This record gives sequence, C-alpha cells and structure tokens, in this order.
Amino acid sequence: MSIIDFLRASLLQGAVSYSAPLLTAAMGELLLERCGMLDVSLEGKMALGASIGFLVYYFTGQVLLGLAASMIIGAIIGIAFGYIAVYLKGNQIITGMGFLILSTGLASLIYRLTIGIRNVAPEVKTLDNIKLPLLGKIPYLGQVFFTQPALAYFAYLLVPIMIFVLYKTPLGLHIRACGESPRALDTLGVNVFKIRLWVSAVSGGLIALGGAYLPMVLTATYEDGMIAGRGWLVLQLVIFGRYLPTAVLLGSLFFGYLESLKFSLILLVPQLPPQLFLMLPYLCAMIVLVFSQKTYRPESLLKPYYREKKN
Amino acid sequence: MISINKIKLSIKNWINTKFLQKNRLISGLNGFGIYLAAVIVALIINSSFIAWAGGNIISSYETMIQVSLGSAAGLGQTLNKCTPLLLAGIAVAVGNRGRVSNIGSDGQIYMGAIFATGTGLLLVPLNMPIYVLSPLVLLASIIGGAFWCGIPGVLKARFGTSELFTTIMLLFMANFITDYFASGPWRAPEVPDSISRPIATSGFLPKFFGGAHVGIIIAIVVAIAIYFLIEKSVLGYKIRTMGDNPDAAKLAGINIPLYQFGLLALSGAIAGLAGGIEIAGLDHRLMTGLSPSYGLMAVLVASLGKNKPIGVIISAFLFAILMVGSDSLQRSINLPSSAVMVFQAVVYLSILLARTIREQ
Repeated sequence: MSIIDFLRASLLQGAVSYSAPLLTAAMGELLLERCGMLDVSLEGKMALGASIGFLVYYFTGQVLLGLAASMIIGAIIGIAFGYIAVYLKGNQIITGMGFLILSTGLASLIYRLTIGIRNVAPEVKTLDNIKLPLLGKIPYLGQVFFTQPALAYFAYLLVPIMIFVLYKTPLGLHIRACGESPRALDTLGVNVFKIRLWVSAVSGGLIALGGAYLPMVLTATYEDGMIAGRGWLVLQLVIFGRYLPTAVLLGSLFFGYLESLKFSLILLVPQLPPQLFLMLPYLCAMIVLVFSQKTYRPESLLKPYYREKKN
Repeated sequence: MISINKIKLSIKNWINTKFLQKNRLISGLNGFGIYLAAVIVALIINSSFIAWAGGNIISSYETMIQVSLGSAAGLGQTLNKCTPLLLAGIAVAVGNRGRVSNIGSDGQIYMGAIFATGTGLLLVPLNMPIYVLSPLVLLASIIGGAFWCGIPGVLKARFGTSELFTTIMLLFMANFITDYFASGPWRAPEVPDSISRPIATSGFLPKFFGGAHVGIIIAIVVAIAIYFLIEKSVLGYKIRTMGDNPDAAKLAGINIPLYQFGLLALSGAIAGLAGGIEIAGLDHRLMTGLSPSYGLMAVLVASLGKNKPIGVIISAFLFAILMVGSDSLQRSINLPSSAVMVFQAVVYLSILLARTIREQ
C-alpha cells in the first residue's frame, strides 16, 4: 500500500462521479438556506427523486424524462414544504422531519407498488461516461475530470451558475436578502413569500435530481436506503462549506473521494473488518462538523417572516 | 332603512359571536373541527394507497383494527411494538424539552442492543436460571445508549456541534457496528445472515398474555418517572428553562453545556434501554434490521405528543396500531411494508398542519 493507491486515476475519477449527487443536492440546499429555510427532509427528497426518476426511466427508456420526473416530484415536495414554512409559518425542523419520513416511505412504497414482487431487481442502463473531445485527452486529469457522465458535468456546471445567479443578478441579491433580512426586502416592495416559495420549489427539484443520480449512474437499480445518509451529509456540507458554492464544491469532492476510497481500502486492508471503512465517510463528516461550528450562517435562517410583527 | 350593507353586517356579527369568539368552548369546538378535518384528510390519503395496492378500503381498515386490537395475540404484538416506540419517544421528548434534538436515537437503540447482546452472550456459560440476570442485560443497554448519545453530548458541550447531525452520523455508524458484531464475532453459525447467537435465557424478559413481554410495563414506568422528573423536580425545572428560555437559564447560573450533555446522555440511556428490551424481550439476538426506524418514528411520536409523557404514550400506541395493522395488510393484500411510514407521516403531517393553522 503506497501513496499511489490513494491517487489512482480511476479512484479519483470515481471520486468526481460520487461527488456529483452530493454537489447537486448541496446546490439546492445552499439556495434554500441562503433564502432562510432549512430542510431536514433532504434524505427523503433524494430518495423520492431516485425512486421516481428510476421508475420513469425504467418504463419510458428516456433518461431526460426520468430526470425531469424526479425534478418535478422534488419541486412538488419543495412547494409543499415551502408553503407550510412560509405561509403557515410552521416550524421547519418539525415539518421537515415529517416530510422526511413521508418522502422516504413514499419512495419505497411507490417503487414497490409499481414494480411488484420480482425475483430479479429491474435494471436500467446507466449513463455512459462522456469523454470530452479535447480535454479528455489530457493524460491524468483527462480521465479524472473530463471522462464523466453528462449528469456529473451538469452538477459541476451548477456551481458557476449558482455563483452567477446568487452574486451577480438582482434575483440572487433578493434571495440572499430573504435569508438575511426579509423585512428590509419587504420594505422595498419585493414579495418575500413568493421568492421563498419559488426557491423552495427549485431547490427541491435540484435535491431530487441529486438523488436520481444514484440509480441512474451509479447502481442501475433502486434499493431502499440507497441514499445511505448522503442527504444528512449534504446538510453538513452546506454548513461546512460556509454557504459558499466553491467551498461546497470542494467539500463534496472530498466526500466523494472518501466514498470512492472506502471500497479500495476494504480490498487493500482485508485484515480489518470492512464495516470500519464503510463508517469512514460518516466519521469524517462528524470530525469536520466539529471544526466548523463557528461559521457564518444567514441571519434569518429558520425564522419565518411575519409581516405584522414589529421587531 | 334596511340596506344590504346592514344585512351583511348583521350576518357577520352573528358569525363572529357564534363562531369566532375567544370563548374556550367555541374555540375548542373549532379546534376539534380542524383536527377532525385533519384526520379525515389523513384517512383519505392513506386509503388511496390501500386502494392502489388493490385492497378493499373498508375491510382493510377493519383488518387493521381487528388484528392489532381484536385478539390477545394481536394486542400483545401491538404492545410489543409500542414499547420501543414509547421509550424512544420519551427519549426524544425529554431532549426536546431541553431544546436538544436527539434525532438519531436509532443509533442509541442499536448500541444499547449491542451492549445488551454482549452482556447476554457473556452470561451464557454461567447457566443461571431464566429471567434472573435480565436487569443486568438492561443495565448494560442503558450504559450503551448513554455512551452513544454521550459522544454527541460531549461534542455539543465542548464544541457546540449540533447534535442533530452527530446523532445521525452515529446512527449510521452504529448500523455498521451492529453488522460487524452480528456477522462476525457473535454470528450464529446456523444462519447465513448477520444474526447473532441468542443471549442467555437468564437475560430474557418474561411474557404475559398474548405474547406481550413486560417491556411495556418498564416503558410506562419510565414514562411516569420522566414525567415526575421533568414536571415536578428541580432538575426538571432547570431542563425546562433551558429549553424554553436559554438566555434566562444562563443568567440564572445553569451550566448549559453540562446540562445539555447530561440531557443527551439521559436521552441516549432511555433509547438504549429500548434496544436492550428488544433484545431481552423480543428477538433475543442481535441483527441488522432490529429497529425499523423506531428512532425516526419516535421523533414524530414525541412531536405529536407535544413532548409530554402522556401524549407520547398515546401517540406511540397509535403508531404501534398502524404498524401492526400494516403488517397484517402486508400479508393480506401485499401492501408493502414501507406503507407504514407513509401512513404515520400522513397522520403526523395532517395533525401538524391542523396545529399550525390553529396557531395562526
């Protein structure tokens, strides 16, 4: 076991691929939290996106339809959550937990009711790696970064798009203002509630898309519990990335690397029980979290906006 | 002269006096109406899934009630399922009172089960009579759960790390540790899955009617004890203050980090006990699917029960009926087991919505 084993091109290529679902969902949650809401039902939304996306892809054979379906279902759950959080001023953590269990249960239930009982789990054809024409030919980096499925490229494109929207457009300014001081925004006549609701929808769609990545690219089937805590990891990623898209990108790369690494480690060190290495990403997430407590967070996070209250 | 406006005004006045006063009876009835509407909506949504699975709605609900409450065996099963839900619900609720969110209580259930199994397996060669050493097994599970939730407690007290995440991460880690023990050192040689050998019979819990084990009694005793702790003791008063008004608590000199750690450890201990009771009373072996997300359901149970022991008992019992009922539907109309999560979540969300609307 040498340093080479940690830097193999295929390992890093896997890392980039594994990080894409985290990144997509993290961009969605980043948007949401920047707008002042926190959705703990991430894990459930990803599961639902995975389940619906897989089912639609399986029955229609069209990748885009599957992805669109998962985004739509994510947006629907997002709107429902957003409505309760924004207009009914419900407690977001408690409501989020309810949606978590609902989405997780629905993901599994809809899958089972649609597929029924079969001996062999239905499979879909996973997305192929697309080797970019010029960049893909670079010796080491070409394989790592530029030979990835299309959905991974989309995930990485989301980062500059998010940076542009959040920091260079008026809409982005409004979104960030919703998270810091919605009252100030309201005095300008901008409809805070509508912005929060729309952001909830878009973010839900992105999160579900992140979930759909898993069956469509990585495993080719859907299983209960396949999200395996990634949703919770994304929640921590956004905090640990200090609500900045670039830092979140690096964070998801790191955790994608850990996920890719654990399989190699299991093979390289057969003396130790495999469960030890499977625990590795969660352990690292905890350690990282310990060191990222005193970070910035949006002022109005989790606070519903009451127009009538004077504060 | 009687004008349209005067008529409208008098009708509005009538509605106001009859329905929208802050009269307790009237607003209570209004509340009842909203909750009734919530329950009806929940029933409709849940029934649609039953219908999708191909079952007759009326007979399915009949079956659910019949199986879970209609026979001694069924009631026993309901009580058995209620026990871990109740304990985990109390664990989460006691944390919530102190503004500490023990979402990953499943992990403590598993760790409690691990400690209980370890102790139980150690006792096998001693060959003690049945039921004698079960307090030891349960004590081990309490220690295990307290330890597993003590880690997030320390992290919170020392570094301010949010226990919402740390308990969840530890939950996933506990799953793997359970898998390791059940498929490795403690593996039952006759079974191919990751299921452990059974613990000593002296660690078992006795059963009474219908196959229910005494765990439910233990759970209710714990619930009552927590009630007295939280509502009637000085310590409980401090915990409640910490939860309701952290600034006032700090000004009053309560050592918040220490109490948060203690509360998390207590919460973990109760959840660990749930795991130990599952091992001692029900399964007698450690296995990976020991808890069908009792911990997550417990969050709903605690919230539904407004974090008070009596509410948690009622909610846990209700959820247990849903679980046993859905199990029976799985046998009769092939309703997938994940339907129970949907049913519980739908009931929970509709009642939550009703509460939120009422608070408007």
